[in-house]
Amino acid sequence: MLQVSNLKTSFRTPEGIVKAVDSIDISLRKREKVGLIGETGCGKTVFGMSVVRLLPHNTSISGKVSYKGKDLMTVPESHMQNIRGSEISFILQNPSVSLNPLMRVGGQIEEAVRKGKNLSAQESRKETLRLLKEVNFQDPEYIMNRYPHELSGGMKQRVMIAIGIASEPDLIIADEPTKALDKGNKKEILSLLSDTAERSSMIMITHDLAAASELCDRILVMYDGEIVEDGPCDEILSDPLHPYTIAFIKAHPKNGCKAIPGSSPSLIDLPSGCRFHPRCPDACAKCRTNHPDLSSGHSHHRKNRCHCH
Amino acid sequence: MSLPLIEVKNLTKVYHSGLFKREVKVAVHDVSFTLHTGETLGLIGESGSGKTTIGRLVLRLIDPTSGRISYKGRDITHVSRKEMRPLRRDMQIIFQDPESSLNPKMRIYQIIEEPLLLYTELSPKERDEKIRSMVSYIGLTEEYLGRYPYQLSGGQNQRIVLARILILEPEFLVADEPTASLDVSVQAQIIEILKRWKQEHTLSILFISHDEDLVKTLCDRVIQIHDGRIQDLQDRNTS
Repeated sequence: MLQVSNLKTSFRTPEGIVKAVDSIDISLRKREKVGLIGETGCGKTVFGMSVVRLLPHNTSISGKVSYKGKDLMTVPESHMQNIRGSEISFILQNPSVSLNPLMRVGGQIEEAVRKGKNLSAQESRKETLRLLKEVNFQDPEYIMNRYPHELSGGMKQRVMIAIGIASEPDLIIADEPTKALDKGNKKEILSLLSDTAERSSMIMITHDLAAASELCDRILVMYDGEIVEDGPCDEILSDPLHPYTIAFIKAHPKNGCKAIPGSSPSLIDLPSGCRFHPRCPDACAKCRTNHPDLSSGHSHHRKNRCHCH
Repeated sequence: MSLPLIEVKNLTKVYHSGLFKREVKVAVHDVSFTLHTGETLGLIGESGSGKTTIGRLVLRLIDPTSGRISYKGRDITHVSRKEMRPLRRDMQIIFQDPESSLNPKMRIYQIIEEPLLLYTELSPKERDEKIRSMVSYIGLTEEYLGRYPYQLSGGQNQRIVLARILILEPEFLVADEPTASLDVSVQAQIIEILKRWKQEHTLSILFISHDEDLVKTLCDRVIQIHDGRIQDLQDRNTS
């Protein structure tokens, strides 16, 4: 359904060219749910934004993103606007910033409901109420007339989901939907996403392994603009291959809260060889000079970008 | 054990709002606990349960409606702002969002230097040495000193906040969800700095978080807060 090949996104900045996304290949089947995992600044969000072409002017994107046979990179902007929201929806991170503070919540959902459809005021209101109910609001009519600042973080996130699923999209890109939510809220949002998005494919961008494991079939681990490991969710969690994945799992408080030494390299001045080698505990001479490829080792449904493992 | 560092008794905070202040909201209801020297106490609960209010009450950033707070045996519940000032050096707080706790117009060097100017009488040379050793302690290089907060990532900024606090070697720290807006690997760096500092210095922490796993890795004891009340107080053997 979605086929991304050799996607490269870079930004021209006064400091140099920032290669945020570097040669990413992803293919997504219908109804498949994929988790994109990595630390801050590794290019997860930029990848999502590249797919729907929501990036500033100083960006250059190359590669191919084909969605149901259409190449999204060459589609004219006017057409792209119809695809965004109605076929591919993007649930942005940080709902407190993404919602319009001067509009009542109901109006913002209605905007999404009406898009591409010729609905009367009454019909769209009805649909909005239905959506609010679907995202577990007991009293949708009350919520409809609230402004975003009157809602809590979890409630705002649910409103964002309602907007995201309003047009019954085929692909949902959810960017950190559980960020900064507490445990109860997190659980609720995740179960909501898995219920409402049953018919859609999903790319979930997150750094929360637990969240990804609950929702996703497959996990892609991203480090410094490239995919370093790709495989089924439970296998990656139980038997990670790439040293970065191993370190990342160990950083979770449940698994010892061990920090990865060093910090991720700047995307302007990438290290030679394997990008993880300055922080890797088992880096060898080959890792310092040769850039490894994403290859499938002993099992064909898993891919790993490492010389040693 | 000797005198507790912090002792909180029957702390209550009530907010009045609405027309003629008729709407009453009890944010914290009859909370009592003690914190001993060198101990890390976890405070967990959902958002809106009153954890942050408790943290701020203990530091006297807001005034309690009733109850008693004592610091090293001294009742500080009704101490004036002016009398609180010398105590502030030893009682610090770290907030969730580093970007809003750092002055965007100050360079990192000035940010870390400010508490030294306010609370100590060190010479410029001694200050400089302290700042540089602090920066390497939190795992950053000296080149960051000339930068502004917007040029740093969230995790780096939170480490700067921590440096600004630790440079005074406080005795008591309220950590109010210091890692909620950071991702796991960056969170682990912050926690590691705190753990390392605690091994070398005497620091008591009131650690506020909604992440049970995180609290378990760091805290000696955990208090669960629900709707402004203490639900459960559990001891945990440190491993």
